[in-house]
This record gives sequence, structure tokens and C-alpha cells, in this order.
Amino acid sequence: MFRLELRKLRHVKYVLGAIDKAGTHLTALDASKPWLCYWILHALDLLGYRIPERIAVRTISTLQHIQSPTGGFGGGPGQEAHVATTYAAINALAIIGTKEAYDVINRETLKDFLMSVKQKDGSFTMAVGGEVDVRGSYCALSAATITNIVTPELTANAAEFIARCQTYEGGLGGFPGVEAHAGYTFCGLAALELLGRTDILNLDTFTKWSASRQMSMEGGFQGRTNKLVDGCYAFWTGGIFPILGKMLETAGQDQEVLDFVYDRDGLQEYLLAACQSKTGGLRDKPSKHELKDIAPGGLSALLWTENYDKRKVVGSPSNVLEITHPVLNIRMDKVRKAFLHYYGKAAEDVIEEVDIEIIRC
Amino acid sequence: MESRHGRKKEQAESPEALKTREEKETVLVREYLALKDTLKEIVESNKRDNDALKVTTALLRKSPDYYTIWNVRRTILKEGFLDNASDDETANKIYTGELEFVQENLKLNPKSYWMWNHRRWCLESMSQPRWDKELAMVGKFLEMDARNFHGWDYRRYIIRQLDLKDKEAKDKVLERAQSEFDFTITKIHQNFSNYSAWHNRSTLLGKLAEDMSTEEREAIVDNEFDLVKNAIYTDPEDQSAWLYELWLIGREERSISILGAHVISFHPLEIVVAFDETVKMRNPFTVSTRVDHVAIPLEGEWKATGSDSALGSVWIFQQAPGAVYGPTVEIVIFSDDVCAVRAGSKLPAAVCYELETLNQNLDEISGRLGRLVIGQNLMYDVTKRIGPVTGPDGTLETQAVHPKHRVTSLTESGSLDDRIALLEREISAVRELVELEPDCKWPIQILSTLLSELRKTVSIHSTQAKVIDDECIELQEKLITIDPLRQERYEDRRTQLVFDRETLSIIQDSKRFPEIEYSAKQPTNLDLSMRGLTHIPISSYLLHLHTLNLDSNSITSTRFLRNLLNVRRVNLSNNLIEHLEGMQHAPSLEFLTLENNMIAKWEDVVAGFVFWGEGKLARTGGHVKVLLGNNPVVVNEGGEYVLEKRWEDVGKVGVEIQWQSEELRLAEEALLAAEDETGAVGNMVVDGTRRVSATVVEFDAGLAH
Repeated sequence: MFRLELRKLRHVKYVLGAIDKAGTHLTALDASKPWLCYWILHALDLLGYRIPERIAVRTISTLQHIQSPTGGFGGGPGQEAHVATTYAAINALAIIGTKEAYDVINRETLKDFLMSVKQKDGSFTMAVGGEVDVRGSYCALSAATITNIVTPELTANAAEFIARCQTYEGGLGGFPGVEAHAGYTFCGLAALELLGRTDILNLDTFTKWSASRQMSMEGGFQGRTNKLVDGCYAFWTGGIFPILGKMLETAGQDQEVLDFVYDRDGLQEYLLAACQSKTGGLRDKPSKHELKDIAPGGLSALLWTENYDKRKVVGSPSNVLEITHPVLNIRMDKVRKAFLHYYGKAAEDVIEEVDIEIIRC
Repeated sequence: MESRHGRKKEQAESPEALKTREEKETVLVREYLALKDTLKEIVESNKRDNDALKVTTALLRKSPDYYTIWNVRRTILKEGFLDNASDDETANKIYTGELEFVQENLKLNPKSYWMWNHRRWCLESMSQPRWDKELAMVGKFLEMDARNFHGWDYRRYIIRQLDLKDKEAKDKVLERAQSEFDFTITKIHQNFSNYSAWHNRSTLLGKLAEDMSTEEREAIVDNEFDLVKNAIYTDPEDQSAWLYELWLIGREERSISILGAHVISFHPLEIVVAFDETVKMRNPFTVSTRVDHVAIPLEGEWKATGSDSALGSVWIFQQAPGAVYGPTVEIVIFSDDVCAVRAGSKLPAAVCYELETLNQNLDEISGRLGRLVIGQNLMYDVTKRIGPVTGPDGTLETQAVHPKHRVTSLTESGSLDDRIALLEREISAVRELVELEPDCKWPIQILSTLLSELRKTVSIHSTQAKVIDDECIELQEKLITIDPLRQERYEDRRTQLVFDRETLSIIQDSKRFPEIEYSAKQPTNLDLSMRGLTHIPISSYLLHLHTLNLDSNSITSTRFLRNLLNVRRVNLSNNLIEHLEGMQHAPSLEFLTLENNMIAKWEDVVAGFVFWGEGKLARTGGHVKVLLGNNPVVVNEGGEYVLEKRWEDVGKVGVEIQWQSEELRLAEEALLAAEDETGAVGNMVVDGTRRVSATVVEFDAGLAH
């Protein structure tokens, strides 16, 4: 019988190949270098491939040069700091997880940078002079949580701003008044989870909107009402469910109820059968070329569906991936290690607090 | 060359071609890197001339999301050109050039945040921004991709800017809203699946209706309903119009109800307050006692039942050791003290309960009020008084406000009759469609939602409520058959509806309609067997029950038991339970039947009882029998070894096990005797299933005995 298999080796080969062979078409990502670091490292990490020393050293040195003198990380050397690349850089360093990697981050200036993009209404701009939306809230709070620089000034009004992004439909838009969108919904929800304020949302409409994003035929997700299926929303929408699961449980639902908020098998099948490229890498739908950014996103999504409450792996048993943190999106063991480094003795409490128990194996 | 599947065969790149390609790429990369080096020099040397500007142009063409360059470009423009511009015209020319540059690149990258951002900067800095041109431009982008949310966001931004300019001219703002409203209809007519257009329509409609008379509003709303009808009759499976219809109808806000407050014990003072849904406590409820007409706070702690003490539908107050209370105790719950976990709804007004503590003779109270006994303790209703109440800051919380009824999403308040008339009209319209398209899930779902809205307007004990409940349950069953992929969603909804219908004897309308409260006369038994329930939606309803039969449902968790403070016998046979939990606050539990479930591990049984003997309410001790027949645990584990092991783990709690219950042995004997007598082969049916063996586990808190 045909068995769905996650072609791990091919994906590893694809990802490793991408490090040294970036074509000219990647010029457009010249302001996203930390993202490339994070995506590559995270994909390897999830596939259970030990990160080679050579790559770790190179990443540390690259990110060292990318850190802005005024705090935070830019898109490349000499670039201004940006909240999203700061998030990616910190996650990449946390994945490497060595003292040298942690020491790259200047926490004092990072704090200054995050406060410089923090707005009075609780939102964050993506960079000085940039746009406001909930991506900023998530990236800023994630970076601050890992490095232990969360302050009351940083979080003031942050949850209230995100709550204002919830629409009539139930999902979240990028900022108040705009259409609900899965990407922003994940960012907003993950940020609220970091703030411990998920209760600020209307849970009923939120649940319904999230569950309605799964396509009946394909099993994959769409990003907005009446749009097409796309592998990247396996990540954005798929990422909602572990956190939503915890919210529903808190609200008194049985843990078992969570299992049918969405069809985990359907999503895994879509990712394994429709999104894997022959030459490695994942793509958003079969007609499209594979994109590297989809690769770790798709893997994380696959992982989330595998580990949601109880392990459930579609296809070959070798499809099992390493366990990732549902909010910070780096491997659980790497989160623990980073917390032990940044929080010292207090780490035990923080780990308990942030270590969301939804991922039980 | 075409392959069999009609696709072009991928041809391997020849070594020559590869070489040429690599050479070309190398040239491109070198060019790009050289440009970056030049940019670095420009930044370092503060060059602000045309050459510098050109470098940013070249770079941004290649990498439009290179946000640093956008910032550098703005600085060059500002310091090198705009600050020196002799007049507005020169400056405007520069800005216009920028707008053209952005527009040309936007065509290639219509989703680049920074390009839209640069455009905003230009327009906001210009002395005479041509917003009308912007509208036309973004209109074109929405023709290329009608769902580009950057385009829609930008469109709303332009309108906001224009409106700000016309702050004083209300008619202009309205005219603009009308024209945007008309734009959405153009988009909807092009493709009515376009939810972005419907969404924008919903944001505009409110603005348009702001200053309208009631008649005008009605007219415009009727027009919207007609529009929706056109769309749903064209394609009833398309969700966009349905969602818009739901938005138009609006949801009637449900407020939290307090079902009742009772005393559990006097020494120490323990009070229980039950809500009709899970709430989060924001501030502890105030408990005070009067001494010489002065209210003095009574120290103590509020906790929700169950493991998470910050959330729950049943809350228990326990007086701090040594605290003293007088002849009356007052409990005040302010509207800000709680919020509902699911929909964030609030308590409509403060509620105050007054408790007379002079007569503490439990037997006498029990006789007078005929109420509840927990173990050896008594619970009874305390006097309920409704505001006004003085708030913690000295302000007076007014009398309960009757909730305003919204007729549609456009009306903040209206008459209940209008709401009912609208709902009835829409219900009959959707019914027609259901008849035409009996297997289409959307009209059925909407019908069910509309009926539920109508149910909120009537008394829970009315015939109409009953008819609605029955129909809604049928609709869920229909949905399960036509949309099996979402079976569990509908089963959950069905469970809620069935539960509401079957627990009507427990609650009644409160004086503050639509709030509800416990009925004056509480049933002690409830039979919910064979109802297809997947869970217990509101366990606080079951607070007073003595006996609960849940045999033959699809319940997966026993967590709800945490709120059954008074229950003695629970039958959960033939369900889908895998482990026990929630017993901490069911101290009166004597008999729990769990036959034919999915319990596979001995630990999963015992874990439920670990804290049972330690619960604050279990002062009287307890002894519970658990019937475990036909669970995998009986096969997987068993015998004395497991028993001994568990005995140690459970600690103080006594465990007793027997492999076959006396009841079942007798039943089996009777069956065999009957078979002998009649000569027929019979199934022993107890509560709907045949049982082979039964296991009784007895837990003994062993405190009072």
C-alpha cells in the first residue's frame, strides 16, 4: 500500500544546499538574512539533523555583524534594526544554543530598540518609520520573552491593541478595522499567550473562524474567508490550534474536544502528499515552485498536528519530527536551554509558566 | 516535447547552459554588491545628491523590501532636495516622481509593505496630495487582485485621510462613504465570493447609518438583505454573503447570570455562588458582616471548584481561621468582578446577597427551607437583593439595566418586537431556501443561528422556546448527515441544545429577564441517559442533584463532577471515558458506575481520587464505590498485585476491590434462571448493555469512620 512519507533526507539536502547556493533570485531577500538563518536552522532542527559546527560558527558571525549598534537586528550588515528580523535572529541564536550564540545579543540595546518601536496604543511598528501591525507585537514580545527583558512598559496596552484587531468574523486583522487573516491571527494569538491574556478574545467566534479555515477537499488551510488553500497557512492557521486548545481547556472544555476542532490527518496528508517537492523542500500547492520559507513553516505545521495533545502521525512512522514550542517556534529543549541562560535561577518558574503543557507526548 | 501527462518534460541543463547561466548570475551579483558598497559610501559620507538617489533606485528595484534603503532614500530626498526646494511646485514634482517610481514597482510587488509605506509618506508630506488619483490607482490594483488586503487597507487609509481633511463637512464625509459603499457593490457584482468587499461594506454601513432616521435605516437594511438574498440564491454554498447576513442580524449579547448563592457550613463559614457559565474572577467578591450598622470585611478566600482555581462556574468562599462574623453577612458581586471566559460578556449589574446567621440549627433550617444537604452540612438559599449597591469607590451602582435589544447590527437599541419581527421575517426567507436546497449546509446553519437568536427573546419555559429547541436539534442532526466532515462541531452544538432542553426543570427566568436562576424547587434526580451528549456544557446546573444518570452517551471526561457538590450516585456507563478527574468537590459521592468505558490504566482511576479525601468539603469523610466492569483496565491489569501497589500510592484513601459486583452476580443468576425456564437464549441487559464481568473499587476517605 502507498505510504505517505516525509522525505527527510531530501529536505535536509535541499536546506543544506540552500546555504551555499543562493541564486540571484534571492536578492529580494537581502533585507531578510536572519530569516534565512532561522528558517534553515529551524528546518534542520525539526528534522533532527544536528547543526554542523561550521554552520553554527558562520551563523553566529553573520548575526554579530547584523546586530544594530542601536539595538536589535537588521536584515543584513549595516541595515537598520527591524522587529521581524530581530525575532528571527534571536530564534536562530537560540537554536544554536551555545554561550557564544547567546552572548551575541546585546540585551540592553535590544530593550531600547523595542521601546523605540513601541506605540502608546500598545502596538509596535515593524521598524522606525515602518508600518504598524500585530506581527510587530508578536515578534517584539517573543524576542523579549526569550531574552528576559519583558517590562511593564513594553507590555502596556499590548493585549488591548491585539483585542481590537478581532473582527466580527472572529479572527484577527493586522490592525483594528481590517479583514481577519490567519497570519495576523497567529501573531496576535501567540502574542496574547506570551502576555497571558488570551482571555481577552471572544473565544466562541475565534474558535469558529479558526476551524472554518480548513478546506473540506484539500485538508490544508486557507488564510481568509473564501480564499484558496495554501501550504503556508498550514503554519499560520495550524499554529493557532495548540494555543486555542489550551484556551478551550481553560474555558472548561474537555481536552478531547480539541481533537476535532480541526482534522489533523487531513492537514498532514495535504502537507505530505501535495506540498512535498521531489527535490526536497515544501511548497504552498502542487502547481508552485518550492520555496524555502515554506519549508520550516510546513514542517512546524506538520509537527503541531503530530503533537497536539497526543501524538498522531500520518503515514510512515519515520515522519515523526522533533518537538517545538507552540508560541516561540523553536525546539522545546532549545527553549529550556535559552531560559536557563537568560533567567538563571528563576528559569524553573519561567519554564513552568511558558512551557505550555499542550504538547504532551 | 510533451510527456504522456501533457506536461513538458524537464530537460537536464547542459554543462554549457549551466556555465552561461552561472556567469550571468555572477555578473548580476557583482553589480548588486557594487551598488551596496556605493550605498555604504553614500551613507557614510552623507551624500545627498542625484547620484545617491539613483543608487537607491537601482537597489530598490532589485530588493523592494530592503527597508533601510527606503529610509536612506527618504533622508536623501528630504535633506538633499526637499529642504532646498524653492517652492511647492518643485517639491510636488519630486513627490510625484516618487509616486511614479513606487507605482511602477508596486505592479511587480503589490504586497510589499514598504512600498505602500513610502507612498503614504509622500502623500502626507505633499502640500497638495491628489487623493482622488490615489483612489483611482488603488482601484486598478484591486482589479488586478480583488483580494489584495494591502490594496483594501490602503483604500481605507485614503478615505480616512480625506475624511480628516473634511472633518467639518459632514456631508462630504457621508458622500464619500456612499461612494465607497457603491465601490464595494461593484466588486461584489464582479465576484460575490469576495469577502474583502463584504467586510468593507460592513465597516461603511455603520458610518452611513449614523445620522439616519429609523425609516431610512430600515430602508437601507432591507436593501442589504435583498442583496444577500440575490447572492445566496445564485450560489447557496458560497459563504461570503451568509457571513454578511449574520453580521447584519447581529448577535444579542448574552449577559452572565448568577444562578444562586447558598451556605454550605457555618463553622467555618462556607458560601457557594453558582454562575451559568465559566467565569474569570477579576476581583474577589466582597464578603462583609455588619457590626453596629458598619460593614466590616470578613476575611476569607474565594476559589473556583476544580483544579484551576482562577476560572469556574461554581465559586466557594471559605472564612479565614479566626475571623468572626455577626448576625448578618453580605456578599456583593460587582459587575466588573467577573467576565465570561467564552465571549467576554459581563454581569449586567451588581448583585447583593444577605445571609442571616442567627439561626444556625441545621436541622431546623433544613426543615424550613427543605433544601440541600452536603454530607452532613446544609445549603440553603440566602436572601437575594438587587442593587443599588455602593461600589468600592463609593459610587452607587444603579439598578439592573435591562439589556438593550438590537434590531440589526446597525441599531444600538430598539424594541424587542422589532427584533422579533426581523428575525421571523429572515427565518421564513431562509426556510424557503432550505426547502429548495435541502442538502445545502449553509442555509441550515443560518436557520439554526437565527432560531437561536429568536430563542433569546422568549422565556426559557415558553412553548416557543421548546419548539425552537426541538427544531434546532433536528437541524444539527440533518447537518451531521450532509456535512459529516464537521460532524463533531454539530454534535457539540446538539449536545448544548439537548442539555438546555433536558435541564429546564433546574432553572427558571429571573426577575431580570433574560437572566436566569435556579428554580425554587430543585429536582434531586436527573435522567440524561441515551441523549447523545458529548460533554456536559454547564455543570453548575447540576449543583443540587443527588442522582445523575448519564448512561449511554458519548461523554469523554468526568471533569464536570467538580461542580456536583451534592451528588451521591452518578451513572456514566457506556461512555468514552479514559480517566477519572474532577472528584475533589463531589464529597457526597457514594456510587459511580463506569462500566463499559475506555479506562485502560489503574492509575487513571485512582488519580481521580487522590485529592478526594483531602477536599475541604469532605470533612465528613466518605466511601465511594466505583463500578469498572468491561473496561480495558479489567483485562490489562488486575489481581492482587495491582491492588497492593495502588494502596501505597493512594495513601490515606482506602481501596477495596472485588472482581464481580453483587448486583451483577444476582442479575446474571436471574438471567440464567430465566433462560433455563424459557429455554431461550437471552442477553442480560442492564442499562442497555450486556455485561460479562464487573469490578467494584471502593475508596474510603476514612476520616470520620
